[in-house]
Amino acid sequence: MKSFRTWLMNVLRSILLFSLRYTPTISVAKSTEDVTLCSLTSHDHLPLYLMCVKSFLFMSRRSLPILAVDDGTLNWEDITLLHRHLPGIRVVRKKDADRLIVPMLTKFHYAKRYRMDLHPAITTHNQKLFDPVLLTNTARCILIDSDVLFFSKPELIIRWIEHPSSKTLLLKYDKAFIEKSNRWGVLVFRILAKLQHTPQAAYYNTGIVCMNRTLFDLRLVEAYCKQYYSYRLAHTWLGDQPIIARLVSLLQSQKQTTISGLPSTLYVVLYQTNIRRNLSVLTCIHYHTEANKIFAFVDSLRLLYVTAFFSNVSKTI
Amino acid sequence: MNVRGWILLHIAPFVFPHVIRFTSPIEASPYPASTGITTKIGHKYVFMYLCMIKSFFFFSGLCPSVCVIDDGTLTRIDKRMLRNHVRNIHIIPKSAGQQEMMGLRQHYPYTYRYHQESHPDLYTHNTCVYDLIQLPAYEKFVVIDADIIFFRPPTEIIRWLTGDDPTMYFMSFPSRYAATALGWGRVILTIFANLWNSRVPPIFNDGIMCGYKSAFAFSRLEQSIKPIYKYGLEHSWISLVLIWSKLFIDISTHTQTPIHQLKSNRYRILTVQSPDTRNSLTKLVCMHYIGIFKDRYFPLDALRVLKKTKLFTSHYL
Repeated sequence: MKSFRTWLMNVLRSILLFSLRYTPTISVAKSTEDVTLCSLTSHDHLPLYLMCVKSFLFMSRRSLPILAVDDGTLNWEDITLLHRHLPGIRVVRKKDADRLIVPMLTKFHYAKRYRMDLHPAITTHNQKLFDPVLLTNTARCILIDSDVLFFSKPELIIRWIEHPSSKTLLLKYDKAFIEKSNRWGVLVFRILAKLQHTPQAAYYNTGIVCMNRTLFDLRLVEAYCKQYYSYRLAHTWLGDQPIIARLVSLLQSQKQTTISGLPSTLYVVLYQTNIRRNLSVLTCIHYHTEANKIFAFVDSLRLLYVTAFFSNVSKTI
Repeated sequence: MNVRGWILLHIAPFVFPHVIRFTSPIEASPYPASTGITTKIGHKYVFMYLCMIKSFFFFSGLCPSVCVIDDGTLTRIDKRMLRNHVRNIHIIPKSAGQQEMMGLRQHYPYTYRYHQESHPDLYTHNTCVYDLIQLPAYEKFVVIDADIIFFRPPTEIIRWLTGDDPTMYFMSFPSRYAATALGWGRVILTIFANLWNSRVPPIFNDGIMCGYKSAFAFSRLEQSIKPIYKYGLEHSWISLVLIWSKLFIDISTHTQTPIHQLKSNRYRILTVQSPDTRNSLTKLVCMHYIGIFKDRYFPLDALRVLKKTKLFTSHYL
């Protein structure tokens, strides 16, 4: 079953890569803009990443500087492909990212250790926590996962881009649903928050984070990483999400930011696959588990077909 | 699995209750006694219980006092069957101990709350700690779950029951399993293991426990239940594991009573990671069929041991 799934994923990946050839290239804005679209990406997720960025730029009708950080698996062909589809994109290779990040973390022992250690269970979540936000050149950034796909204009994000404020936007789980379906995850978030006497941040998802770069307070991140190590959680699959969600929740309680959760009915974190029946009513979906990746490929192809490879949005998906 | 194995696996649940009914009765020591075996059971687990207690008597060659605590679902027929199959068995009704419980309300509010509150997702977990220790008359008790089958003499338990060993024992998961198993529950147990500076919580299993009633003072019970409410875990089954773990840790720390785990390679817990264990049952002392394995494999393995022991005949009435 697993091998069939892998085979199917590979087939869908190849079809998507092939189809992407026929999408128009989108020039990326220069870094004089105020906001950067930042992501960590990998060889396996490359077609999804291209779909994520292109669907965002296409639906929002905006051009932004784009930063793609390599998780160490991108090869030269992948990078060429990125430059061909998104001329002007800034791609930071893993070894360059290591070289740039380490000096920034010298005063933060646990943060540095968490960034540099190998964590077999979480693959690159530790890198995702630091690199996209620390390597961006702009004051504000949109941290976005490769497995997010846009189906209509992300009004709230565009408004955030156009009106600089201290507000932070985050994807949000449907509270009632997550309390029921992922009760344990909610419990772990609560315990971690209680242990450090910080506000609870159980319902946020870091698939999309629109934030001021200054909010990424390395002292607080250091404290959270230290907690991971002191409770021997550093190598578990608790990754960047508890840290980012708790960081902004704490900053909100200190009135340094205001969190605005993106409405979970439009900006969906995929839990129930039946929500995909009518994609046109949604703004985006975050296909956040490995099990959901197959739907990300299928929906990408549906999106390409309906938009006639990004030239016509009038049809219903 | 071959076709024969598949058929046997699916027939066994229907055959097992009829076969266990025709095994010879056993005679336990009269109740009350200072030493005995306690189990909490319901209607659904009567046949499993009979298999467990008979296999224990058969392989240990002992006939200690036996007591069961009704979880409220035992019918008159169940009770009659229990009395017919295990002579001198003492059945404690669900309503027992209510008067004493009311007395605890003022001085031990968390113990009272945990026992009396309704926990929608829990079966009888919240009542286990108090009931198993306080309701039976035993000062020296062995708690054995109904979903355990013995395949060889449990030497450690025999020695403990017949000698004056001050050590307290508990069943345990292999450390390797505890370290590698994924899931939010494991994360919670890891957090508490480090919070309490003990290795016990991630490996603890309450399938078999040997202990002394006097060690489980109410004040100690209260101190173990309090953190469960602090971290909002009172409605999850993991609360029971944490309470038992904390009790054992506290007893070991404050009374200098040694606590030992029963060897996990002989007193085995069937987990997803070790399905092959069932191929060599005769090498094991016993197996604890937790979760989904209870319904899936218990009946078939019970039939195997019944066949091998010629239906538990040799030591019987």
